[in-house]
Amino acid sequence: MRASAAVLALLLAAPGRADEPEWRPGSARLALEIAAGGEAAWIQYVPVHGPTGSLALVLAGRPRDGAPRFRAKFHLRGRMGETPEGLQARDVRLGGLLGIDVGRFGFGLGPELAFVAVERVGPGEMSSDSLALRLAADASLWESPFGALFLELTGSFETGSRQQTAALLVGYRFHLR
Amino acid sequence: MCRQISRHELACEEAKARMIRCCPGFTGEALDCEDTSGEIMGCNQVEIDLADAHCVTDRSCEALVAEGVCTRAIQNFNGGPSGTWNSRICALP
Repeated sequence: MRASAAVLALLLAAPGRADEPEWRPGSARLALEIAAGGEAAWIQYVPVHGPTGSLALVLAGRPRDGAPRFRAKFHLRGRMGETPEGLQARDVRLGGLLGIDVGRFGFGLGPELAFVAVERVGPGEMSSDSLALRLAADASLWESPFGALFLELTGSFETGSRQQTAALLVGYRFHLR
Repeated sequence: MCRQISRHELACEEAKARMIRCCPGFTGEALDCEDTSGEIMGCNQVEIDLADAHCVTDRSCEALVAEGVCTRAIQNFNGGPSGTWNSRICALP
């Protein structure tokens, strides 16, 4: 918590967009991302595939021409899915990623809390809540002063149910500041 | 009670769902896939073991019927007065 606050303060302490001569791609320092796509997952070696979505707040360092800049992303993710025998599986993640932006590309790595549930045959469900590690890479496909369309490839490993995931999402990043 | 989703429980639930779909007359009333052994015991004490569960999910519906897996499952897990108890229904020793 203290580390997150320090990162946030560091990112916001740098001069804002008012100091920048003009807008250029990737110059936003605070953004809201909404994305949707598909995710393939394996819970205890049982495949579970389904639609996924994410909502994220992105804080980025001051843009400098050609130089990579740090960024922090806080996200809420979810996935619905089904096992081969039709058991419904839910997955909700809350986490953060630290990474860098290089031109149109971004990379991140970070921990998240994972809440996973698979329904039983009949009443009840199996569930787990544990830590997961996430890796993500994204690329801006199209940018404007108001936002950017991006493609994200991300994967995670969760300790509780030994779930591994791989997802491809398309989203829009709204530039807030 | 296991706090996480165990491999054995999930495999058991998948096998149970497959037998309900593939085996006419199988209700699975007496097949409990909930592991009550607890974390210390390894969370692997369910009524169909891993080899048996994978044996069931790896077979087609036709094979489950033809190889007598459905018959043994009904004898063991349909509840009420049971027939001959077999410790395994599919991956026979």
